[in-house]
Amino acid sequence: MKESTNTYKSQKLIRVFLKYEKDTIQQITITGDFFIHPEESLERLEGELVGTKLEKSAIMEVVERSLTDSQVFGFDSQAMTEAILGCLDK
Amino acid sequence: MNIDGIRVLETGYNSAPWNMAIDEALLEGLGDTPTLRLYGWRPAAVSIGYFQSLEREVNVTTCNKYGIDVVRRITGGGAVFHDSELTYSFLTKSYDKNIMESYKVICDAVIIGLGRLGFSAKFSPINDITINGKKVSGNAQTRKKNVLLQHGTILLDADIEKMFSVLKVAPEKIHDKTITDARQRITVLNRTFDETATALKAGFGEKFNAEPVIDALAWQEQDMAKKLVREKYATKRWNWKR
Repeated sequence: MKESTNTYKSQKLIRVFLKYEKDTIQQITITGDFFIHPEESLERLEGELVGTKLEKSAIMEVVERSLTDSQVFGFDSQAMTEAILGCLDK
Repeated sequence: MNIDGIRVLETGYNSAPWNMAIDEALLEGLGDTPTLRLYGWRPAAVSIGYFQSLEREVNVTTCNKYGIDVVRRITGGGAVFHDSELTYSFLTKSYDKNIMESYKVICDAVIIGLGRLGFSAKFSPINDITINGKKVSGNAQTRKKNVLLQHGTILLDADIEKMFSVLKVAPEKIHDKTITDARQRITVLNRTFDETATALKAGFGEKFNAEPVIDALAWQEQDMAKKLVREKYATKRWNWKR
């Protein structure tokens, strides 16, 4: 299993810690100074990202679906997707 | 927001776990009357946002060396070094469902208060208040159990060197966040805690057209806060959650 971290500056800062194998997310922790209401939405997103292919369309779909009922300030689904995929460049 | 009165709690200077525990205890037990709490931090402290990593944001070793408290908030946003400042919490069951609008409404109350001290301050979305374009106040809010809690800092003075020694600034931000630049981007009131507290009470009273009524923490709130310190805010499980 490979591990990588990435920090991505959107309106607020997103930091991603990723474990992946065969281009699939095995474990992910997302931290940063953004706001999500309700706050528990982030844990749900992290859970739903596990098993997702490290491909732009697949990640963006999970991010958008998972946060659809949440209010987010500091990043959008595009930024979160780029923050996650940025781990592959490290 | 349409309210009759504002309960005001001046809880003085407290440790970081106690400060965050009181805010949550107030949220848990809030009645129909909104509450404005005014407080400070002793010892000085670093609070991190709910979503932040303590390890990645804070020099914990330096904090330990200086006797600086460290605590995770229940609100999002960034890491804050609490030293010479006044912190407020405002809790209400009557609020705009639009989050940005509610930030603006509550920050307006702070801005009116700062106006009483002679400062022309502005709301700077997402969550800041500025004077002449420089940040003087950061704010964060959460909504739980039909209660809105917004807390925020108002800088009375700033020890920039100490601030940068306890906060780890990301390289992605460092180009505009050097110590020199911080002095250009941050401003302080240079007023006393009491002067600022008086102005803030008046600001909230005026904004919400409601009489501020001084009160004290109820024993139930103190008991709840003690429990929250013990079981949450003083624990590694909570503070090192991410």
